[in-house]
Amino acid sequence: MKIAINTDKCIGSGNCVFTAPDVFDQDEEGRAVVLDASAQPASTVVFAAAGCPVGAITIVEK
Amino acid sequence: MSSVGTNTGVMNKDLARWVVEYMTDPSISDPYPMLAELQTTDPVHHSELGTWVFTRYADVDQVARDQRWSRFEAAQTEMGLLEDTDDDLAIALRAQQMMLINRDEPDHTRIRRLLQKTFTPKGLAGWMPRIQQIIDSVIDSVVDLDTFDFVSKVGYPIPEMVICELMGVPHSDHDLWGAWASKSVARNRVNSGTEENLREAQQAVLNFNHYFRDLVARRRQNPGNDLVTLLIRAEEEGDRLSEDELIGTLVMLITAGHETTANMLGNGLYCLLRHPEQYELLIAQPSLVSTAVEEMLRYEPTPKLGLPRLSTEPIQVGEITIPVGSRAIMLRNAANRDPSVFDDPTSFDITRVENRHVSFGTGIHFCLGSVLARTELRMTFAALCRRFPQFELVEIPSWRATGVRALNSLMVRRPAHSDATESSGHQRRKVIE
Repeated sequence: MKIAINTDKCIGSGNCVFTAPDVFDQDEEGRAVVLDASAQPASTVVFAAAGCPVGAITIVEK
Repeated sequence: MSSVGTNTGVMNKDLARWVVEYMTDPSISDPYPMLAELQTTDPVHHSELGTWVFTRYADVDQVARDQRWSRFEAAQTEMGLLEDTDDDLAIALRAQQMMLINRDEPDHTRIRRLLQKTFTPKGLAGWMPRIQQIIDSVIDSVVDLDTFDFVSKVGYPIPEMVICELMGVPHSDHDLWGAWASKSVARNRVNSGTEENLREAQQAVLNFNHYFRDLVARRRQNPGNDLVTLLIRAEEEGDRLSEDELIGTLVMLITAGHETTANMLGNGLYCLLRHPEQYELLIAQPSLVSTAVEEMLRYEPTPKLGLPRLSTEPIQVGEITIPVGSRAIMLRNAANRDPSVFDDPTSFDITRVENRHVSFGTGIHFCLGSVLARTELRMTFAALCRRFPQFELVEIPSWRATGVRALNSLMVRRPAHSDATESSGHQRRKVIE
């Protein structure tokens, strides 16, 4: 699975880290970063992407 | 074909009147059946007050994400300047308008980035032991009481103490600003409420403004390792934060930092008390606390009317094109029970998974403190279920007539002959259903 994060859009809500803590992290400014796209089940990652309040996470390929 | 600015559905007159009542005197104890009817029969509702009311999940979500719906423009109309408003109050109201939750892009993200790192899981990690200590000490204070008000004894003190320490605001001052915070959330943003309601809220804004100006002046001399100092540094750098934004955002942090979580603790326990089998299940299986908290947030969230938006151009919502300059509110408590998103939405089910509630909002104004709120809620309910048997409800509580959904009080008692340090889910009694 490949995940893209639009860091201009990201408001740093932390919702993705909350949903999939092994997949996402946040940098110093709170922006989301991908730690390991395969660390949690694909369904969890899809749910985390859908739950991004500003739609900054795109699953590029499954 | 879309119609412009009119209701397409046949609108039940009683329902239309109920919506006005809900928006002007929102102390209604169970709004959910009427909200469900509104969602079904007139989901994009143009109320008699002129405000548009959205109740479907998809519409609430879409409008919150669509930046053509401006929060800043809506906030301008909420200033409530009166003929006799003096300069001092006008300055305080302007600062209020400059707070994070009242801003559009790009200002919103400029301010939010200054604060966000404090509220990420990493930023909060160092605070966890202290938050646990605060929760334990507050719970210790009620352990010997047979009957007590959960909202004032537990609900408020926990988030108040936590936000004070994070911000660097003396908790001993809470006798002052606790009342100001309640008065400012009591402000009805839909129609400004009565003049008395407006004046009380304005006085609270003024008091808060003076309080934080004094605190900031003192903290400039004696900086600390806290949010007030962090924001002062950003303001002193010149181009990152104005003085009005600094003061306004501090008022926002202290108010939003405790009024919401405090009342969510009360609403959450009330959910458990109304569903004793779910309460029993949580005590028996403490690992359910995460999904239980998400279900409390979905089922009885504190945002009621939320923060209105103003359309900056004609915008289509559902089948209706809303004209430019329209005011709208998103009823997240209705969206959280939308049957097209949630199975069996009227059931309170602490095992519900992939719970996509909108209680923290969506779009750029998604709650800054969601991680902190979830942490406080989980740790508090975990501690309560570990240390107490199932509480019993002493009386049916009443709801506050404020812009947030909150209980006036929640009187609970421990079942007779129970031991406070030992949980026994067997002595439950079905109090109301």
